[in-house]
Order: sequence, then structure tokens, then C-alpha cells
Amino acid sequence: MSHQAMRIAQASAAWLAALVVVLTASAASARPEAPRAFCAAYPEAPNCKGRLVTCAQCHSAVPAFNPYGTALISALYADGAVDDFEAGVTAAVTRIESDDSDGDGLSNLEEIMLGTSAGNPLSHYALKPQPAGENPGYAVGKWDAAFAYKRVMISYCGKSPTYEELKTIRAAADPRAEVHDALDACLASDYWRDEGLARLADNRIRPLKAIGLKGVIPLADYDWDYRLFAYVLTGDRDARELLTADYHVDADFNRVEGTIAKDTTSPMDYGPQPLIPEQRAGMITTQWFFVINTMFSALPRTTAAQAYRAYLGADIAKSEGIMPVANEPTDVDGKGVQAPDCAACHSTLDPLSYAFSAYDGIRDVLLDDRPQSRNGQYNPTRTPWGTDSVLLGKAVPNLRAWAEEAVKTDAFARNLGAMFFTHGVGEDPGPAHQAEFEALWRSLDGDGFSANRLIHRVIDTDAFGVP
Amino acid sequence: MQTLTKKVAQGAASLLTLTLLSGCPAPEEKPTPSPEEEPVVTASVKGQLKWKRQDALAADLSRALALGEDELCKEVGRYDCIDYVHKVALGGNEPEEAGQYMPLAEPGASTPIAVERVVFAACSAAAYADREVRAAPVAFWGIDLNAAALDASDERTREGASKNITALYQSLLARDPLKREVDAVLTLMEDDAGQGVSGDTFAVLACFTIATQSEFLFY
Repeated sequence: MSHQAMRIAQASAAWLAALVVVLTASAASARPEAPRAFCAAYPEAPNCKGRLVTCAQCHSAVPAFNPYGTALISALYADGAVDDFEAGVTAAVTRIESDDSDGDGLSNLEEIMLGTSAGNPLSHYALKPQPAGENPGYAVGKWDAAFAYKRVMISYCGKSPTYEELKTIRAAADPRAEVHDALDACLASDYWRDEGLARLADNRIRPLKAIGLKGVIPLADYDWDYRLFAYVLTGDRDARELLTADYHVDADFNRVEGTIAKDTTSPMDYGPQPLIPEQRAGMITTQWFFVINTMFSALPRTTAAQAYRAYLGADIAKSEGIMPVANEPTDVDGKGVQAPDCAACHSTLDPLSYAFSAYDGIRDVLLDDRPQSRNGQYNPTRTPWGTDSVLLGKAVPNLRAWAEEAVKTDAFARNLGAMFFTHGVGEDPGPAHQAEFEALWRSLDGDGFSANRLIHRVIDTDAFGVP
Repeated sequence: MQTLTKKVAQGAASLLTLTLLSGCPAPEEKPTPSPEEEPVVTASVKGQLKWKRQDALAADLSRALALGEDELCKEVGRYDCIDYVHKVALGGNEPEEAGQYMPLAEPGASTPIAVERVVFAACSAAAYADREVRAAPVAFWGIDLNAAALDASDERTREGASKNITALYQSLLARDPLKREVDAVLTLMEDDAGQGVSGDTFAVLACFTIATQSEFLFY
């Protein structure tokens, strides 16, 4: 066979192999290590900083590939079978980075570095031209104090500025400083504490009146959660205490140490916060958090997933934060999660969850012939497996260590930054604001993780203050 | 009422046109404007505004119309429109009973009509309070709310209304109106048949026109 014929035969074989992979791809072939492999090649990509890409990077709807995924598979198997899939993916993505797999005019590498999808032509970004000309109301294209002031007042004080207040800002010698002063006042207001922050907490706390303190079957009081959330995120306090606090916050917004005993007027027959401080880890160890998430689960996967989603920004249900651990899942509770359909996610989720096993969700014990609730209490003998967990590739022996490791991660900082960026700007950080957004969440460490200081930085961004 | 509604829509549309960031004159006109009357308005290229949701909407209407937030709008006279009945459509969420942990990301299909319902109710409540409850009018002090039919050609009537419209712009939009904007709202004094509307009707329509502009509802 001639040399050219051999090359044609080899290329055809590679295409045929890729075609076979594409056509026979199923959940049984799920490769959850692919996001990690992708980000190993592109650590500076926006979707790889403080997070991992999701399966949507290559898949339109798992297991079907999008154009980028199809191109990647061809590149991966171009030379035949691959021994090390992760290393193979890391190498293969660079081979196709100059291509434009979705034909939208941007190369795959350009899209990866913009944060748009290289497999979807509708995911696209074009830099907008700078506006030229005058506007009597606002300095379009530049940070405008009046525009920013109005946003500050509505976003953080819950009301628009008055005619006189706007006049004052426009006439001020240092309008930007005035806007920051206004922000300080708003961040100290009842509105921000009781409404603004509370609405940011809803999806993290997930209240349910029916089983709250005022419900028909009171199991736990989530008002403690709302107060802790607001307390940690106000007053220049350290936001890492969202996961490390060993105290509570009472109705007068005062810090309270230790456990919270039963109130004689409480409809519950136990104290509202019975967990000892030594086993506390902030918001993910309140009684309500265990009641609503763990409930009766032996292995609290829902609890771990909610902690991962709420405080590290990774929603496993959306294939975010998939970092499979070798030899997992071991299916400790016999739920069948080792099945290939399940293991793709459970190889991350199960090792994430072991640390939560030592805490009761909803549990009654008989004392003096009377049922007594032990909801949300520490119970190290609760399950036969231990609490050794793996969080973002790091081994952690228990939940306190889980939390302490979590707050050190880029994922925690990024998630906190994203929460306040999206709230302030009104949309998720996109290609136009990636640099500003990254600078924001990376500033947290230097600012002592103060949410207030972060918000001050948010209002200074072009995303917030440029009309 | 139908012709009045049409007039309001026309008035609102012309106001929207004025306030939208566009500066192209019609081909047959070549205005030489003064900056105050015909400002050159360069458009934003970002096209990104935030939606004023229910809590700020209520706070702003309450302050501008000097009403308590619980006086702005009630369905069947009992249920708060903004904080209860139309809360979700107006951008809020109800986490404890409805289990709605996130509000709508963007205005929904029923948001416009819910906004209009609330604003109309609030403006009507303010007109009623000025006419029947308060010792002296607070929101519509420049309009004779007891007039059965306003005389749009009467200078004193127009002057009072103009000043009141300016005050509404200041309280709702925190700025002074252009003369053209005032003139556009003044046209609401007459119906399509050229007949003067009542003072009460004009007050509500003027308030509604200004408070349903994009400028009031987005930021």
C-alpha cells in the first residue's frame, strides 16, 4: 500500500472510530472526568476559574455531542484507542482550539477564553463600540455617578433617590464618594438586612412554613438561618463565617454563643439550636438545614449537594462541579448508585456527602416514654461508614474540616462574588465583564471577606455604573 | 373611555419616544434646538437595565403620591396588590408558603398589565385622597379635581396643570420634564372629541402616563 493510501486508511479508521463512539455514546460511556481534564488545559478560561465547565461544554444533551464535542472526539481518537482518557482530552482540546467548530466566526479558543460555548453558534460575543456623543442625562460609556446612585438606592435601599438627592449628587465635588456614602447608609439599613439579604438567602435556606416555627408541624425554626446569613454578610464581618460560624444570632441581631435552649413558649418540644458549637459549621449545620435537607437520609446526599450548590456555586444536578473520586461511589447505603447512569454524578456526590452523615436530620427518641426530637444534633454513630469526605479533590475527615477547606477555595470566593455581582448588576457576569468580575472575587481575601467592601467594589465596576 | 385609553396610549407612546435615547430628527424637519428643548441624546450601547421590582415600585409610588404602601392598591378592597396578589408578576417571590425561592429573572407575560393595574389604582387612590380625605391636595394640587370638565384653553388651568405635571416628573422620575413632555401630557385634558375631561380623570391619566414610562419602571 502506498504511503498516501496508508494515511487515507488511517484517517478513515480514526473517523470511523469517532463515528462509532458518537453513534454508540450512551450514559454507560459517561466520562465525568472530562470537565476536570478540559480545565487542566485551560486553567485561565473563565469557566475554569473557581468552577469547572459542565457537560454542556461538549454535549448538547447527554449523551449527544454538540459540534465542539464531535470535533473533540475525532481529535481524541485520531490515533486510535486512548489509554489515559483524562490526559487524552487535555491534549486533544488543544489540537482543535484553532478551529471554529460551531461556525459562528469565533475560534474554539476564543470562545473558551470568552466563556461562550464553542459548540453552540447562538452563544456568541462581539465587543460593542464605545458610544460617541452627548447625553444630557448621563455620561454614556463612562461611569456615571447619578446612574450608579440610582442603582445603589434601588438595589440596596429599596427605593429611588428623590429629585433633591439626585441634584445633590450631580452638584457634589466628589460624586463618586457621595455614592459610596449612600451605599454605606443603605447597607446598614433594615431594608438591606431584612429584605435584600433575605431574598438572597431564600434559595440557600429553602424555608417551608408548614414545618417552620409557625407551621402546623413545627420541626425547626429557619429564622435563625436568615439572621445568621444577614449577620455574617453585614457590618464588615467575615463572610467565611457563613460556613465556619459556631454561634447563632438572636432576634435582636446579637451574636449568641453555644446552643439555644428550649423556649417555654415554643411549640417545639426541643431547643431551637441544639447542636454543640464544636460540631458547628455555619449555615450548613443549623437545625433547619438538617431538617429540610437530610430529613431521614442515612447518607445525606441532598444536604451535601445543597451546601455545594449554595456556598460553592456548583449545582451537581446541572453537571456543575463534577470531580469524580477514584473508586467511588461505593454505594454505602445500597441505593444502586454504582450503576453507570448514576455513577457519573455520584462519584463526586457520594464522597462529598460522607461528612454530613454524623448529623441527624429528623429524628425522635423516646425519653420517659415521651418522644423527644433530636433534629439536627451531632450523632457520630448514626451510620456504619465514617465521615471521611473529598471536597474539590481534597480529603477532609469531617464536616468542620469540609467547611474550613471550602472557605479557602476559589469556588467559595467566586460564588460569593457572583451572588453580589448578579444582584447588583442584574445579570450574570458575561464576556464583557469577566476581568472586572474576577478582580472582584479575588479582592475578597485582601478585604477580609467583607461583603460590604465587596459591594463597594461592585458599584465601582463598569458593569454596574456605566450607562 | 376607549378614546381616552387610546389617547393615553398615544401620549405614553410619544413620551416614550421622547425619553428613549434617540436623536434622529424626521427627514423633513431640521430642528435647531436649544439644549433644554431638543437635547442631543446619545444612546447607551449596553442596552442593559434592571427591572424595578415590587418593593421599590411600592416605595416609589408611595413616596411620590404621599400614600402608605398599603393604600396604593387592594384587590376586592382587601388583598394587597403589590405584596400579595401580583407579587410574583411584579418581580417578587414568596419563599415560605409558595416555595418560590427565586423571583422571575425577567418581566413575565403578566407583568405589564399588573404594573398598569397597580399604577392606575395608586394614581386613583391619590386623586381620591386629595379630593375627599386630605385637608389640602398633596399630589394634584395644581389641578381642579372637582371640575366636571377642564378647559384646556384656559391659561390658568394650563399653568396649574403644567406645574403639577412638572412636580409629578420630579417626584416620580426625579428630573425636570422637557416642555414637549409637559405639552404631551396636557393633551390628556381633552378627549378625542375635543371635550374637556374631568379634573379627576386628567389627574389620574397624567399620573398613570408618567408612572408607566420605561424610565420609571427600569433603572
